[in-house]
Amino acid sequence: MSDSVSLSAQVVILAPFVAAILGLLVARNRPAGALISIAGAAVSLVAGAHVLYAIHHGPFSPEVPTVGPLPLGQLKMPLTLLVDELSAIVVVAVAIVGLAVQLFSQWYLHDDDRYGVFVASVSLFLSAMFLVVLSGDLVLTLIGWEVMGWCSYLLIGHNSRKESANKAATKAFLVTRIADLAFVIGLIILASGVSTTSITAVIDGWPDLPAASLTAAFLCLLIGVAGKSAQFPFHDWLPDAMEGPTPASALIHAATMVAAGTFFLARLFPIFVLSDPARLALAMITAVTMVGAAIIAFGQSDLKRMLAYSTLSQIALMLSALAVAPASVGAGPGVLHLLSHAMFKALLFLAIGWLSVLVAGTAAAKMSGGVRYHPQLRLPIAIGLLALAGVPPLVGFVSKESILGAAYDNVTELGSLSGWIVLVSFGVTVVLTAAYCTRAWLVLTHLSPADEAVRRASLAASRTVVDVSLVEIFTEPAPGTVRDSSGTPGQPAAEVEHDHGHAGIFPGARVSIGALAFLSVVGGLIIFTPLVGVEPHLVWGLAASSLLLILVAWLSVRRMAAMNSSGDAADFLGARRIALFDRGFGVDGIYVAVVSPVVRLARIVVTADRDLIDASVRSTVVATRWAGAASERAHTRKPSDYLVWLLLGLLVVGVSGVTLW
Amino acid sequence: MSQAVVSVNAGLLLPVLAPAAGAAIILVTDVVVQHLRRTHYVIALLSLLVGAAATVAGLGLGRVAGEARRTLCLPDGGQCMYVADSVTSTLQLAALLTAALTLLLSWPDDKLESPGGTAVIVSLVLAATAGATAVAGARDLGTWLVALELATLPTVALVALRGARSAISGAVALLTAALVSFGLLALAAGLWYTATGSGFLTPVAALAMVGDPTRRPILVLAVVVAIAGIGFKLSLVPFHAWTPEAYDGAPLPIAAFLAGVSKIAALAALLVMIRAIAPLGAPPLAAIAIVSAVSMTLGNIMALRQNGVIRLLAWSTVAQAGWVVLPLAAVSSSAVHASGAYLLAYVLATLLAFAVIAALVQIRGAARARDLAQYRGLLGDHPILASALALALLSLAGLPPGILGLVAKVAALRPVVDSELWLLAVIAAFNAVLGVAVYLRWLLVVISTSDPAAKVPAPAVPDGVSPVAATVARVHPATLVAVGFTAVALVVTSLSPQTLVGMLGI
Repeated sequence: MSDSVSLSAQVVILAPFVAAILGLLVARNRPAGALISIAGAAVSLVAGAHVLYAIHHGPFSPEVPTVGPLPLGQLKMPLTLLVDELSAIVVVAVAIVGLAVQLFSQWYLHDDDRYGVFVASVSLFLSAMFLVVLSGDLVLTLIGWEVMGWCSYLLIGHNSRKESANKAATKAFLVTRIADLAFVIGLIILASGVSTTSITAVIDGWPDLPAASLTAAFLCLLIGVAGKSAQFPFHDWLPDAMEGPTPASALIHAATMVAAGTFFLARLFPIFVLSDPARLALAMITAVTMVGAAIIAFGQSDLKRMLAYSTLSQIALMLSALAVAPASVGAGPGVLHLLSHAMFKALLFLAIGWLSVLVAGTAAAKMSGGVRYHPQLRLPIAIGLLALAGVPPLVGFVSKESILGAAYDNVTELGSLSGWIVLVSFGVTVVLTAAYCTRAWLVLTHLSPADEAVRRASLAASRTVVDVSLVEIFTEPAPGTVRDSSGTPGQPAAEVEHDHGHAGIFPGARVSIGALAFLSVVGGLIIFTPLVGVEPHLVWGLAASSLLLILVAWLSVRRMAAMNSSGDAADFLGARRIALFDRGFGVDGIYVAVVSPVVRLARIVVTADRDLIDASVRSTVVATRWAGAASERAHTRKPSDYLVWLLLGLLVVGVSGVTLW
Repeated sequence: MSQAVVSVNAGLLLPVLAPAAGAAIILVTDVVVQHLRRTHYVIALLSLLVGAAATVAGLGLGRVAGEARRTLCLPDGGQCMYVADSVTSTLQLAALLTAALTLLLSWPDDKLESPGGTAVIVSLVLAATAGATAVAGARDLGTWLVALELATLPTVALVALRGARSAISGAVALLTAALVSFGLLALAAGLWYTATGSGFLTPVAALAMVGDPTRRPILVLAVVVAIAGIGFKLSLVPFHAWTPEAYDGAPLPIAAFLAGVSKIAALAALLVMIRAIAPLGAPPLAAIAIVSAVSMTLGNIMALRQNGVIRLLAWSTVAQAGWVVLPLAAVSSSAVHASGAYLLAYVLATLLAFAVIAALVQIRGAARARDLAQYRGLLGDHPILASALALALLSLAGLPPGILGLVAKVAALRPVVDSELWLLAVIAAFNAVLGVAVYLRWLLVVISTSDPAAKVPAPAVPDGVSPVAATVARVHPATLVAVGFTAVALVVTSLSPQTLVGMLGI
């Protein structure tokens, strides 16, 4: 039994890895690439499901060997995997999203000449994510963590012919790399304390070690997590990462990579809970991020970027659960929200991606009324937005209420500052989340009065995808009602989507969206199973008030929307302020302000290097030339001069030999 | 126990006797049958190969201290005048093979030369080689002195025989050096005898005077004067001045002989002396450190300024000689091995360079083959020769893929570092960099694309160099054999440097 668990756990990681390598070999062959990539993700899903089943039905050994321990003297490096309830359920969730994304990519990128490379990168990315999730060794975690960062760079920069995509990829890479520096230091502190990189040993050993070192380690790790999970102040790469194709956004920037930080902290939760300063720091970071990102999300002129900011907010939510959950509650609420977010956010991204193909763009103005004209998308998008807003009984409600319960427990049991911070910011975020979800829905279902008339006048039969272009002609928005996207300079436009020549959606892509929608609806039932380890725990008062807040937000946004002919509640803010929102309140400027002194310092160093250090090296050339000229003059080729040199030499050699020996 | 005054084992002496006998046979043959050419070369090669075969038994001896083959011993277990252990045998083998290769480079071409001096040239080469092999085995002052001069004096004649003005001036420079050198060596021998009271250059003799502190300075003086005398033959600064003149004036194969066999003979002589005093536990030899550091630096600096490849190689010899004696500054057994290993690496790489130049002389004419600027685009024109030359230069510079040179440099530095002669080590490291510049300067010309403007015909042939320039000639097979043999040897020893080190018996 335990052997088959070990084997399956290894297969989970290896299958997409092999798929990535094979996929690169057949990158030019589209059907083979699709087959390999989908098969890789499917094998992982099956193996992951087997692991999940097996560990709840029978004994198993949690430590799974990989390449064997590395002999490193005093530092032990067992390089094992760690299979338990936590990793098993996350593996399954990641595999579901991964498979859905691979199926969706087959359709979404069907006319992209670099499809093969894309899906191979996705496969490699999945393999790395599985490695992080299953890792029982800090080194394996780091390997997976870095490979993910690299794949993320590749996927964001997939449209490398576009300048903005290259810039976004570079930005993501630089920001996460800088944060990773602290992450590595944190890992080293953890490993050096117990002389091993085994995560179980780290968890067992650190409670006995000085709390100050533990706090230092976790503060470093938090920087890395903030970078990877796009938390303030490292958050700004994620909205720009929307330059990547939508399937990549769904995979990386919604369901997996950004959640890796949450997972890692959940993995170390038994010792993370011991460090109150680190928890307070996390609570503050997440409070700023969840509220700030939700505000910015509301004002985005691009719906895909709106989803990106909502991701920041939701990730902050799951991290805040780890910051406040008492030790008795454990990491369960955070992990539960990770799972639920993976489902509904992947669903939203894929659905918005589908819609963007149909309406040729992701800007709110382009998408206005999109759901009206493409009713097949009405249900998936509605489910996704309701789950995001946290409306019962969808999965988002369940997970958010469990976080709320954790924060409530913290306030009642511990009464700590972080509990209050999270509780208050949670309340604000609930309103804001409901507000931007409502806004998005109203934009997507909006019809201008003129369009409404035209639509009724038309035959109203063109509801199939085949006739989309005909419908488009009729529904071309009237000038003046559309916010001009060129009015937002400096704003990296989200991915320009495929034109209307795109093929009709493939069954696989449709099935994957349907499956994610289904899981978003019924996924909340997981709380009644032992899979996550969260007790059903509803604080009725809080739940009721959050529902009330949602209702208030819904009503007021509707009212704001009704005052605009565009039907976009954000237009209430005015074009200039929306430009500000689109720039994410100018966080880029903070980056530049931080970096420019460093650049100035670098220039000084370069100058010093060139004019002092290099100059001294170059001076040896001058010295050698000079010495050469001098010694050439000394060699007159006259035998008499030879004899003089010779006598001098004899003298020197003789004297030195006798005196110095 | 034999009742003879000394025991004689002719088989052991074969590395010395074979070339000497070959020289005698050639001279006799020349008297009997005149106008022979190839026969002389064949006899010479055979005798050299017989001698080389006789050295094989001694290779790798010496892992056990004192393990060696001895002959010419005094009765009743006395000291021996001829000792062949691994270092001796390796140096002898190297000398014999180097001589054979230089003969291949000078293999007679019917079309070009009159048959006059062949017997003389060949017999002189053999005589000098016999001197080189003899000095490696010599353990008494007389043999040592005579053998070293036997290795030197024929080279003067070899340089002079070409008769051109530059040859004469080179020969005069060489002769002057040889005479002063002989004087110094004779003085050293006298001082040695005064200090030790023994005619043997052995540790036993050196240890005999340990008890008497007044004789110690005399012994030191003997060693220092011997270093000066041998410094001439090794081209160590400030005893180096003859080197560029002689190399440039001599025929190409003879220059190769000077760079190869003569250096082996000189180092063999120095090693005999150093090994005799090594067991004294002497502190580092400042005299060697000084000449080594100065030789490297001056040799590299001057090599950087040369525009003729022969002169460049001559100055490179000066610099490399500094490297050869570098480890000997630390007087120890490992230093002797490191020095021997470095010499072999240097000889192999230098011979390959000379062989390639000889081939180019036959193809492009002497003037073009000797001018550095004319090497532009060689890689495109003659890829195989250019690759061989590149390998030789990289080995001399100590850069991969010329790993042998790198290993030799590291081996040479190790005794210096072990003795904590930091200043010397830093100077050596600095010169390693300078050396890279010297050889890469040449290599860069070789691999750069040829410039159409540089393809104009070579300038007029200077004094008396055989005027084959314009004709597109083929490389003589014997030269090709020499190029191929040295190149293969360099590749093999670069792939497994331990074979060379193992021969020395470390």
